[in-house]
Amino acid sequence: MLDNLWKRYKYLIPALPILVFFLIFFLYPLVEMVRISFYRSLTYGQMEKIFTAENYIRFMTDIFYLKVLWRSFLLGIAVTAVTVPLGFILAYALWQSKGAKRKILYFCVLFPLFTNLVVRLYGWRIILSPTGPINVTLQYLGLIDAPVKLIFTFPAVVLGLFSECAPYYILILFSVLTLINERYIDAAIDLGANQVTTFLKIIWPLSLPGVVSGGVLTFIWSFGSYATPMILGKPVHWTAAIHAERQILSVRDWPFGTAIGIMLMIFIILVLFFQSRITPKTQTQRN
Amino acid sequence: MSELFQKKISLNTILFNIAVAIVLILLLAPILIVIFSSFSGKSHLSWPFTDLTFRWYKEVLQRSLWVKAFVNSLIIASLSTVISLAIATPAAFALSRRKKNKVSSVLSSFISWPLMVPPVMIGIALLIFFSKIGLRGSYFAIAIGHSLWAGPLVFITMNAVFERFNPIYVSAAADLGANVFQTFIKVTIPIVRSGMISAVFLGFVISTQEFIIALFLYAPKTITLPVEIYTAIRYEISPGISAISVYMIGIVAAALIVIDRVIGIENIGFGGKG
Repeated sequence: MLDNLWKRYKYLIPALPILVFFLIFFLYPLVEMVRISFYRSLTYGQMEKIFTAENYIRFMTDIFYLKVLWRSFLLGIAVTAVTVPLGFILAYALWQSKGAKRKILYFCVLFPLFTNLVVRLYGWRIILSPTGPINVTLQYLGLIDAPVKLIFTFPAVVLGLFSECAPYYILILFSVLTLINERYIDAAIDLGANQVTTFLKIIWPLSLPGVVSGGVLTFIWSFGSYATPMILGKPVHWTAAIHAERQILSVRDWPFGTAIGIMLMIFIILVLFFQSRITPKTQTQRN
Repeated sequence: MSELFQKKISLNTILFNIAVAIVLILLLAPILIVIFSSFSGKSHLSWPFTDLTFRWYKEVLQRSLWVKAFVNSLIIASLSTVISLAIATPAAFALSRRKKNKVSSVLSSFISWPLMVPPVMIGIALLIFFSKIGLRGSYFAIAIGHSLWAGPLVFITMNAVFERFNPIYVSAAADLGANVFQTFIKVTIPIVRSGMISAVFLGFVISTQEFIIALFLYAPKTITLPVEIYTAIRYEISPGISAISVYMIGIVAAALIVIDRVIGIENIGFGGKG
């Protein structure tokens, strides 16, 4: 019996180090975090180690934090609504391109993906600032008299999060598009369908798994985002993640800060669960 | 009739290309503006950038604050590359060949979990953990944090590399009497070497660019370059910060070129045919 199990799962031994590593440095710290969220916080960052749900009750009964959660949710929706169509265009172009053109497009997606988020946010700060290229050009053209407030606004936060999430969304969608059997498209064109019909009837339905999983990832990341609303937004745009960080690093109220974090994660798990229910299965067609 | 159809297609194509150009601008504009602004001769950043100069590149290298942060970033990135490669490669090898198996697919998805958790949560959890064992602010702690992010991505890349790897060589080595370990070192590793080189660069780049986890775990002695930039840009924008940012962008560009030379840039990704 044991011998049998050993034979069956022997091949998994090389996977042990990463599993142990994740147990110690990922799962265990998260469990610790859950435990601390049930402690009672005292002044000066002290904690009383009793079991209480008061941090969660405080979060759920305080209209301020409910509003924060609601605004994070709206932010996630807004970013997803922008990223899904715009990202689709580039993923589609990447799929249709060949040779050197595909290489260049791929580079254009990977370069921002790997460039430090802070550097990209800094770039947006320069572009959107009152003395930045947009405002100066508009003034030069006489379209506006005084600089328009572009930075520290909700659209600025959405724009920043779009450029953060889009590269990942594009790559996920592209990998699904490459699974589409080109013969279906040829068949549709042979049967007299034009480009729009081909897109709506063949490409769009087959790419849906990529749109959903990429879109959900975009939503989760915007919902849980920290740096972008911090740098491109005002305190009114702060997400739950920022408030969790403030509680921990500034107020030093660890139990409440971790409770905000746990609420955030529960919300994300619910979204992922919902996604697994609605996601159409990836269809692989034989070539 | 057919001419009309042709014309319509070309109009569609033009509109589509314009849309592609707009998306590309949205993706690349922030990086390009940072590069351009680093040459600005004025000490405050206002458009248009004039009196172009290279002096900021030299100036920032004379400020020990930036140099120290840069060195810290390199130390942590090296550590985290070693860690994530050491743990992710064997796992990718073990899990790549038996995708159909239920256990394997559950384990594969577990390994990508840290990518689903907001970095702030990982930062908070590790802050609590490392404070408790007294390692908060150490290079090791930050490198571990980065490995939680780089490890899964190295795993995904190496998984794709191993999937394309023909297992017949492994059977041949086994037939000739090599044990599992010998086969791995003498047969598997040489075949997938180019994939591993790419994974090294991938892990390294991810660690040099990550900053949220580092923000929670750093101490003044171990502050990384992205955290230093983050602290700086909350109060000012200046060509000096642009110049130091361009050094970071340079690391990314260099790594992408190396990866492209070794395995081809289109092989970094999330599965698919690649």
